[in-house]
Amino acid sequence: MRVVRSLSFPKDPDYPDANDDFFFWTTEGFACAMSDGASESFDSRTWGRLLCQVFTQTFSQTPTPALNDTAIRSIVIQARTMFLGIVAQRKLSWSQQAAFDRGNFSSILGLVDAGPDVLVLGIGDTVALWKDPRGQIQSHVLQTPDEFKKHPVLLSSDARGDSVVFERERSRWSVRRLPKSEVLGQRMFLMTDALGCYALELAIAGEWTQCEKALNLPENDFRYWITQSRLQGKMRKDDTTLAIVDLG
Amino acid sequence: MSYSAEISRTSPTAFLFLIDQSGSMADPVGQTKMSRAQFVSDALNRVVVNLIARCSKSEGVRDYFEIGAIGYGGAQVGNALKGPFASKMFHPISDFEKSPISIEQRRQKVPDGAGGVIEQTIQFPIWFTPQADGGTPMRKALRIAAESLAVWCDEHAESYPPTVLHVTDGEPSDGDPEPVAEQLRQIGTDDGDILLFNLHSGQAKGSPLKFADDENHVIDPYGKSLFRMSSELPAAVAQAAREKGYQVSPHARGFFFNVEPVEVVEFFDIGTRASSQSLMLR
Repeated sequence: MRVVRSLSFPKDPDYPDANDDFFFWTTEGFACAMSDGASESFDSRTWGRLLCQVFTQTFSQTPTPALNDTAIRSIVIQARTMFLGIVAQRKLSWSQQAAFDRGNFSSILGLVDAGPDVLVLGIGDTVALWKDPRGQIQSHVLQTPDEFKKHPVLLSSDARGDSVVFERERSRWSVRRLPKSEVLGQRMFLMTDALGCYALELAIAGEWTQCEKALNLPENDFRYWITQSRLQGKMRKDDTTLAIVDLG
Repeated sequence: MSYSAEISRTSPTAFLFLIDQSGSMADPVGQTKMSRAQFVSDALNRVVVNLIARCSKSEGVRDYFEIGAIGYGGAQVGNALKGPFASKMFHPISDFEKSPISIEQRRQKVPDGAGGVIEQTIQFPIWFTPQADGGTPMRKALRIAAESLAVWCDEHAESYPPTVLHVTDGEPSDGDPEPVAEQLRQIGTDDGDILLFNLHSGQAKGSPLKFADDENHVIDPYGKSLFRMSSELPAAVAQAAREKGYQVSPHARGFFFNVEPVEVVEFFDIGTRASSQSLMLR
């Protein structure tokens, strides 16, 4: 498994640094993760970045990774400890403290090479799309464009938010196990919500071939496609991140 | 008229608080020693804090919102904000972050994460102070609001339209406000007409009403008028109200009538959620 492409465009070209998406991968073993921090958060990008880094570093070094409740909780706790350590070094104004106290929220989409299988963790509205052996487009964890309209379950930097997330395993988030034999030679497309929702709409409309072509365009052409899709109201204007993983 | 324009630093939206400061607002609320005016003032300062928190990132406050406040009571009708905010009606949210009149230390009860409650000290910034005097010149206040909002909308034609959150405890003393409210609601941006939400806290006829959808459900004649003055809730604010447990029909209006002053907090919170989808809260 290897990452063959990763691109990210901010929602507002006037503020290129204000991009709350993050993608991280390691080639040692293989694991990668993508996050999308909530706009209304004090520092959701750092929170999402730490979740991705802890996830990939943990699971790329585990010979037979088990993506279960205990392992995921452990990742969240490690990332939270690091995040709180970073924030503790800053002197926060009253407004920054108020923003921080609201919690910092992020999705995470994680992919792990688990020997004969590929494991896909989806918490929130960052999605993975791939073709199944019948040539049908599958997605994880959200499966229809309508699901993007609901408030997603997101991981919070505040431990009090954990119960909300973990009690909703299977109903709102889950780990998908894919036998490699079923996805041999396929590519998996990891996308934050605006692009993921649009790609799913195209797949459902029978236009996946065009969509896949667009996702593989050279960077400048891909950026133009994103910009046009936003202007035409086909894609929501939001930070947009894409990663393509060759599943081997 | 979709109420779906993106809210960004280049295309902010506005909230205008229209506050009754007539003499009756000095009446104490229930068994408390607090006046209605104090309740409203606290709720307004709190919602400004919440709006600032929504816009605060580690690198600073993003100006997604502009805020203004008009007070009316007796001969005083106009900008209810003082000091650096007195010169004009609308100010970017970052100006509020920079310039509270004062910051009070207050005690607040919060969940301890283990099923209990702990008390902690919080910093509570103040921009708006309670006042109560004279009659209820609501009509004049609405006219001033309309004039200010017309200018704002001209300057922000592509923005999500402004939301006016009006709190009153009595009937107007300067004539029928309905025609002026109607004119105000016809002003707008390319994304929709101005939203006017009204809250009445007092002791009128009938049961308390929240998000009513039918004038016939309102018994009080003045309540009927206030109902007609209120905008229907756009989808996003209706959704926000449902998420807070309210039963909200498709034609429900931003209208609270005959409610306790404490309801002002919910009214402000839901009213300023109108923009959540546009802000892409995710």
